[in-house]
Amino acid sequence: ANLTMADYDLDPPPIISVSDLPGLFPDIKPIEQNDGPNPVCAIAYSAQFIVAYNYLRAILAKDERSERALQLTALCVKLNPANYTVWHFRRQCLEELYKNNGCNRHDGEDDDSHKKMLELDLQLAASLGGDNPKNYQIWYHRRALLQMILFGSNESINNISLDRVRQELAYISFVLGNDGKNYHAWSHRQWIIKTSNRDELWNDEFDFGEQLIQTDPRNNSAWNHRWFISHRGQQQSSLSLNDARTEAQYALDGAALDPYNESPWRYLIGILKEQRKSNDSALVQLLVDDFETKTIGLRSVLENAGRDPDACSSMISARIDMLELKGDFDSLKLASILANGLGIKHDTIRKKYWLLREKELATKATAC
Amino acid sequence: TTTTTTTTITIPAGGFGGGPGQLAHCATSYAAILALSIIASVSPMPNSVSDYLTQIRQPLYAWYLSLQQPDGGFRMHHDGEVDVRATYTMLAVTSLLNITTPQLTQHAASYIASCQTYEGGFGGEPFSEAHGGYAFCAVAALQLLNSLKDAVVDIENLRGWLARRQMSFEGGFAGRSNKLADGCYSFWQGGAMAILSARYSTTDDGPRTSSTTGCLYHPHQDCWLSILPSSQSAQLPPPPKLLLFDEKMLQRFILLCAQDPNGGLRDKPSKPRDFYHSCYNLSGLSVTQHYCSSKNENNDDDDSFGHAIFSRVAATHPLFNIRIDRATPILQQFYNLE
Repeated sequence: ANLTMADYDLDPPPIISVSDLPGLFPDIKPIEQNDGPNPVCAIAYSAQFIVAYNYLRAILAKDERSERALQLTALCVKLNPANYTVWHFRRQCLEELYKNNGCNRHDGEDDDSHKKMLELDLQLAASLGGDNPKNYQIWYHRRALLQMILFGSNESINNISLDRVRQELAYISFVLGNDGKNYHAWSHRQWIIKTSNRDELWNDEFDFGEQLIQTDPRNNSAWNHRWFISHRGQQQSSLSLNDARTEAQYALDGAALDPYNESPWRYLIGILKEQRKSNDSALVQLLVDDFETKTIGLRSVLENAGRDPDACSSMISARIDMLELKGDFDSLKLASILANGLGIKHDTIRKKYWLLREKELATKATAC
Repeated sequence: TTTTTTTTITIPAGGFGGGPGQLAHCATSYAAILALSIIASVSPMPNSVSDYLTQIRQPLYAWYLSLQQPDGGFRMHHDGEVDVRATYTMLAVTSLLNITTPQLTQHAASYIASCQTYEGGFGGEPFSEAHGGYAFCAVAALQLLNSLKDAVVDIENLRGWLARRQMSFEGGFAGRSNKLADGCYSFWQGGAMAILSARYSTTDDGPRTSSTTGCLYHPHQDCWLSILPSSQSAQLPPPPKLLLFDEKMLQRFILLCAQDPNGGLRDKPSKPRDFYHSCYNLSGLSVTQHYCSSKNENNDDDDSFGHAIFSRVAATHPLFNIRIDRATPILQQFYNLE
C-alpha cells in the first residue's frame, strides 16, 4: 500500500497545550532554568516553551512519574523533540504507569494494555517524526518501545509477531519513500530485521532491496542494505562461492546499466575481496578473472554511447582493484599503468591517491 | 563565563548535559571538555580551571564506564542510542584528561572495526552505510587507541573510500557514495584523511607506511602531536608530505561555495548558514592549510587557493578539533609533560 503522512497522522494522540498546565498542576510551583550569573549564548526560548519547561523542571525535581507527568512530557518533546532527557523521563513514566496498573504482569490482558500504551507512544513518535525525520531521539524511542512490544517477554521473543514487524517495516518504507537515503530509517530497518531474525523477513527484505535498486540504481543505501541482507547481518560470515558469484553478477549487471555509477562497482569489489579472504584461492582466482574479463566487456557499453571507456573512473578503479586481487606480475603492472592514467588524465582530483597507488602496485609487481 | 555555564551543566555523577537539569550526554560532554580545554590554555592556566578539571575526572570516568556495552560500543547517554560517535567523543575526552584505561577500552577497537563496511568507510553501527561523520569518529578513535592499523581495520579500503568522497567537479567532499558535496565534510572526511595520511611518507625510495605510537605528525609545525607521554615518541619515522586528497580544490569549494556573503559558512549554496557548518568548514580549511608540506610535489612553494593572509586560519588538532596550542596545555597538565 502506498502510505502517506495522513495514514500516520490519523488520530495522533492529543497533546495538551500550555494553557492546560496550571489546571493540571495546581499544586506545582514551576521552577525556572538556572543558567548561572553570566550565561554564554543563552537560547531565546519562546514564552510557551519557558512555561512548559518550568513545570517540567518541577516534576523532574519531584521525580513524579504519573499520568499528568506523561502528558507534560508529550508537550515538552513537541516543543523540543531533541530533548533526550524528556524522552528518557517519558519512558520512565510509561514504565511506572504500567507497573502501577496493579495487575499481575503475566496476565495476558494486562500485557495487552501495556502494549496499547506503547503503541500509542509509537503513534506519538510517528506524528513528531514527520517533521523531524533525522531526529535521533525519536528513532531511539521507537527502538526502545518495539524492543518491549516485540522482544520484551519470553513469550514474545519466541513467537515474534511477524505482522507487527511488517507494520513497522511499512512505516520505515513510508519514511524511505520521502527520502530513500534517510540514515536513521535504514539503521532502524536493519535493527528490526536482524533482531527478529526470521527467514520470512530476510527473504522479503531481499525483494524490497532489489525493488529499490531497480527504482534508483544510484541509491547507495540500497546497495549497502543488500550487503546486509545477503550476509544475514552477521559480521563474521562470508558468502559461499556460489552466492558470491550470484552477487557479483548482480552487481556487474547493475554496472552495465550505467558504468559511471559507483555503487555496483564497489559492491562487486567488496564481494570479490571477501572471497579472496575466505575461500579457496584457486577458485577465487577464477572468479576474479571471470569478472575482470566481464568488466573489460563493458567497455563496449561506453563506446556505443560515444564515450571514452578509460575516462570512466568508477569502472577503471574497479578494474585496478580486480587486477590487484589477481596479484600476478602482469596484472599488477597493468594496474599500475591504469592508476597512472587516472591520476594524470582521467581522475585528476585523486591524483595524489592514484600516484601513490601506482607506486605501490609497481612495487608489488617487482616483488612477484 | 563559559566556566560558570559549564558548572551549571555538570552532573555530580559524571558527565555534562545539554543544559541545566539535563541528563549527561556524550556529545555535550565532548563539547564541554573541549571548551574547557580552550579556557585552560590561557597562560598561565587558571587554578580554578585546572582544579575543576581535576575534580571531574573520576566521576566522568565512572560515567563513561556505565555507558559501556558488551560488544565494545558505548551509549550516547543512559537509555540512549549506541553508535561510533559515543566511542569517539568518549576517547577524545579521556585522552585529553588522561583517564583512558584498558578496562574502558577493552573491546572498543573491535567495535569500531565492526563498523567498517565493504566500501571501506565506516557506518554508525555495524552494517550501516559508510558515512563521513561516522568515518571521522572511527578513524580518530582508532588513532587515539593507537589501533589505526592493518591488523585491526582494512586501511587500504578506507583510504580508497575517503579519496573517492571528494567530488571531481565541486572539489568539496560528500558524506556517502552517490550523494552531494557538503561543506561540513571538509572536516569529517578531510580530517580523517589527514589522520590517515600521517602514515604515508614519501622518500626518494618511494612511499612507505609508518606506524605511529600514539602520535600524529604535524608537517607544518614540524612536530609530533603526542597524546602520550613524550618518552614514547622516541623513534619517529620521517614526516609525510602528502595529504591524499586535492586540498586546493577543497579550499576552492570552501571559499567559493560554502561562504555566505553576509558571513558564516554553509553546506552548499542555497542552504542557510549555521554554526555547525561554520565550524566544520573552517576546521576543514585549517586541515588543508596545515596538514601538508608547504611545498608541493615539485618542491615549489605552494600557492594554495585563497589569500595568503586573509584566508589563513590557525592549525586545528585533527583528533580533537581545537587549535593545537589549545590542546597542548591540558595534555601537558594531565600527562605531566614538560
